[in-house]
Amino acid sequence: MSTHQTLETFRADLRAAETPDAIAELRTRYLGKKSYVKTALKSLGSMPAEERPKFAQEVNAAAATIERELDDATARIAEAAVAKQIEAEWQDLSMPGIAQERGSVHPLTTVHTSAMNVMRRLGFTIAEGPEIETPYYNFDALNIPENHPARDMQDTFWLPNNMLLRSHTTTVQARVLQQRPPLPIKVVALGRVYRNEAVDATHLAMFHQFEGIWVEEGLTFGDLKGTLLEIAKSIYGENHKFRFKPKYYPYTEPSVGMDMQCTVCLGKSDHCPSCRGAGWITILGSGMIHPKVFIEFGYDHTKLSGIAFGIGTTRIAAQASGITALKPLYEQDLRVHRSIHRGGL
Amino acid sequence: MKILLEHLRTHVNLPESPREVRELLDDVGIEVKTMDAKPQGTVYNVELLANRGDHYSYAGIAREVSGRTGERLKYSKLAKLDVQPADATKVRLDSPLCFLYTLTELELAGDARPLPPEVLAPLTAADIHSVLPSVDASNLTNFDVGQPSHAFDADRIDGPITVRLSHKGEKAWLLFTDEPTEVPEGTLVIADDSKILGIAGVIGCHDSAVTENTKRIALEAACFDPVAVRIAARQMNLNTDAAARFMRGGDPTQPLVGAARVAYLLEQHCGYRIGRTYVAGEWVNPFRKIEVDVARTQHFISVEMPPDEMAERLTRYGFAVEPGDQKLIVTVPPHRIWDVFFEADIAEELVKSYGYNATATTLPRVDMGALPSQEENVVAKVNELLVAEGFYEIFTDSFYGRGTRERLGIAEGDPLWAHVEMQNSIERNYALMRNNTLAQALDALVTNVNLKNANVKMYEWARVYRPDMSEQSLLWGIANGRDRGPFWGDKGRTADAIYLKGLLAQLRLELRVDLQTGAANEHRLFRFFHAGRCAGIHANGRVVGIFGELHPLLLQRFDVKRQRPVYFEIETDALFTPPIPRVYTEPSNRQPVVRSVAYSIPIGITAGAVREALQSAAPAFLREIRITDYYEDARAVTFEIEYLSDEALTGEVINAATEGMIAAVKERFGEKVTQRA
Repeated sequence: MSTHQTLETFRADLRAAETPDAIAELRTRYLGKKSYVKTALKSLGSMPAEERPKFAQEVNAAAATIERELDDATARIAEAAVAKQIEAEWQDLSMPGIAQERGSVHPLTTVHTSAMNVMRRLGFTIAEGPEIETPYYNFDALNIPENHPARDMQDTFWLPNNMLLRSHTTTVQARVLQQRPPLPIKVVALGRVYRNEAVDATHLAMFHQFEGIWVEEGLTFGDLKGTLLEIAKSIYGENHKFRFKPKYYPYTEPSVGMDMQCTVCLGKSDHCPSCRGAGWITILGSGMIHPKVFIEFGYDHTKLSGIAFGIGTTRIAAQASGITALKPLYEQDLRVHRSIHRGGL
Repeated sequence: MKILLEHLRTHVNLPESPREVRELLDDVGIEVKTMDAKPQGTVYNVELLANRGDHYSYAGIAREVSGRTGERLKYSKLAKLDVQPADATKVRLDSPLCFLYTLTELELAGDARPLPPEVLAPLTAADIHSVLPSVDASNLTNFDVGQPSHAFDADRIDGPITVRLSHKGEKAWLLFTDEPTEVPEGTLVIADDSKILGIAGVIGCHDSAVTENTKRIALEAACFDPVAVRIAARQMNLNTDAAARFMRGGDPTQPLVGAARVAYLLEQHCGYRIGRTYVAGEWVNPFRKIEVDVARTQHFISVEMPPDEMAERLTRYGFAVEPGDQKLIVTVPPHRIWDVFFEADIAEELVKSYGYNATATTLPRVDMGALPSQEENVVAKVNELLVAEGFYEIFTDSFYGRGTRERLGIAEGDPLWAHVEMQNSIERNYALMRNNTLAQALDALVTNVNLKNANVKMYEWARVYRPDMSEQSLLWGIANGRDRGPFWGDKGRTADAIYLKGLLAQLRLELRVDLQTGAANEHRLFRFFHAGRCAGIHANGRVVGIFGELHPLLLQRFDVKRQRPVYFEIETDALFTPPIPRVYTEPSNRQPVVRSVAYSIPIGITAGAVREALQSAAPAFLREIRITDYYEDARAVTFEIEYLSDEALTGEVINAATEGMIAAVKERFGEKVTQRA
């Protein structure tokens, strides 16, 4: 068989080969030890010297052609095989994705985390205290003596042995001040508080507060306002209007209420269902720590001053979640929690 | 309190627009809750500061406005009274709890005429109905000048009036009641020789009340001790306008003003003649003086307010001021003796006058922020781990009703029977402070199962309350249904006790705390669990928690049907322990060698015990024994034994080691545990 015939035969065989194995078999047949190429090259020694170069050139060229065409065919077949695999492995991506769906922390935890982020920047740390308290820490130490009308401001759950459930987290502040830590004192207390009220959509017997005190020499009313603005903006965002107004809290003097302009009517409707025409919604209570509180714990109120503030985080969490009533936050219908978490997504 | 805008204008000049007035009232701390257009004009429902008795009137509100705006106050017209000291035939003060008592005689000349509608407008705007001219005039005066008064029918009074403490067992027939009721002993009362005429500062009595036939009135205007009034009102559950005013502190100089105003109204409009006014008691004004350091106060209020401006602003509120460059001596007026004691109180008046929103806003310098505590970091990590597993954080009530004990099957004498009991809860479901969270976890589950959501994962950072009033913080969680999904292509496995064990292992790893599983029978909630499917959580040799499947009988009691929920709880202190230090182990350059061995293990013998037996005969080059497969029906467990050594391990050595371990199992369990092919 001539080189030319060999090539023609090879090409016919190659056209019939459709699998990698068939290609491998052709490679052995046309380039292996017993192939025409190897046999022809071995026969060079018996050829006349003047014919050898031309013949060798012809055989080597044929070998190179076979090699190249085998490689091309290999690649082509592999490509076709992959294409076939890809076609066979088509997935219907309209099917829902599969991954463990995350749950969620409670909206209150989200609010507390946001608030703590700014409080930490200001150097505040968290202090804790008991929920079952003595009247001393809940009232007397905070300038709410027995038979003072301020005790009526907070309907109290009374427990045996003249104990009570704390009606505000200010109790923790009293306990911190009593310990006389080094100045400046910057602590936040957060957690459950209790009011003995008939429960409805907007009134709860148990809810959450977030309170802080900052005690240092030289703190001013302006510092109080600046700190409150910093906290409010961190929780509600920069693009809101805020205002301050006189309030009464027994443990602060002056006492300050902080309002945010109603986000529903922007203060323009006398009949807004959200703010009832007030144009503003109260978001926190605060003030400069009352001299009597300082005196109670042995501080010199003429030298020291302090900022105190308290936020009802339950209401904030409800607002942030887009729900109007407070009660669902303390219920266990996971449809509610899932809806809050997904927020429309 | 509901106030009529047009009437407030008779006390002080105000802006034209009702909305501007509303903002002004808010600005001075008289918070307007609602603003309504009524036939009488604009009516504001205002919330007054709880410590300010002097606010409870138009005059008091006007004074606050004047303090802010500088507008002059306008005063109500008064009758000229013929005042003389009361002798014992008229009034006797037998208690120091009455600071001043006045009694004014009024007599009807002809027929009584009602007060004109325009005069009554402040009352009608506040939805207070007209009763009798004398009562209306008294109510109006309380609204107008803030002095409560009471009209007795003089012809129904037996002898002189005595202000005294009530005796044991004494009764009074209070207004608006059907029969006499017993007055707590020691209550400050107004009495004549035969009966109680009224509870001082709170309410009058039926048998001395004015009627349509009353011709002669004895008008009381007095000032009583705030605490005495508050105790009486609370003990007798009486909530009146007069009590609200007095318990916040009355102005001892006001009774004559109040009497003169009532007398004026009755004389001018209703046909009464004014007789004499008798005054008993002598209140001594303490003229409390407060020294105000000007520089310190300027700094405190963040306003560079000159001393003379301070003085001028304070006089608007009724304070008297002795001026000075460095210090002001401020005298507290009688209407503020109950709430002004300190320089800070004066500072508050100055800030109110200047405007809370007009003072400077600053932010104190902060040298350094603070880092989260170890506890905060732990809580964040646990939250992240559980949320990633599909858990939702919830908050349940700290209390429940008495019926919860029955639902849990807790009988009297049981360690869990005793609770901290509420003394005055107005809600039945808040009778007991919870001493466990299991009941609420099950209620939460039932809520969702009933809503056709049986795949539930919830957790809570909670406290339980022990009968000795101490509190225990814990983390609890409940899971039901599938451990993941379920998805269309992957149904997951049941969220069972093994799933919770896996969660705890993840917690241990994430928090690096030494949590171990072990016996559960020492845990206080053990009896509520399926005894064959629960375990205790141990730390530092102590049981700090429990996890597993809940007991079928407990589920029945909570009406949980066809569900097998699992529950865990762990004391948070166990999570907050310092983390175990990390130790890095260099990975070996050699490949591990693995052998597998499978056993059928009967009920009663744990896979852990078999694993321990294997381990007991393990060579030094054993790296790990893992369970890689389990067939529940046959209780067949496959152990994968991994060897690793820096030396080259031959097949003979590995096989010999494995045979040795298998022999150890056989030796320990005999034929009970059979090796599977």
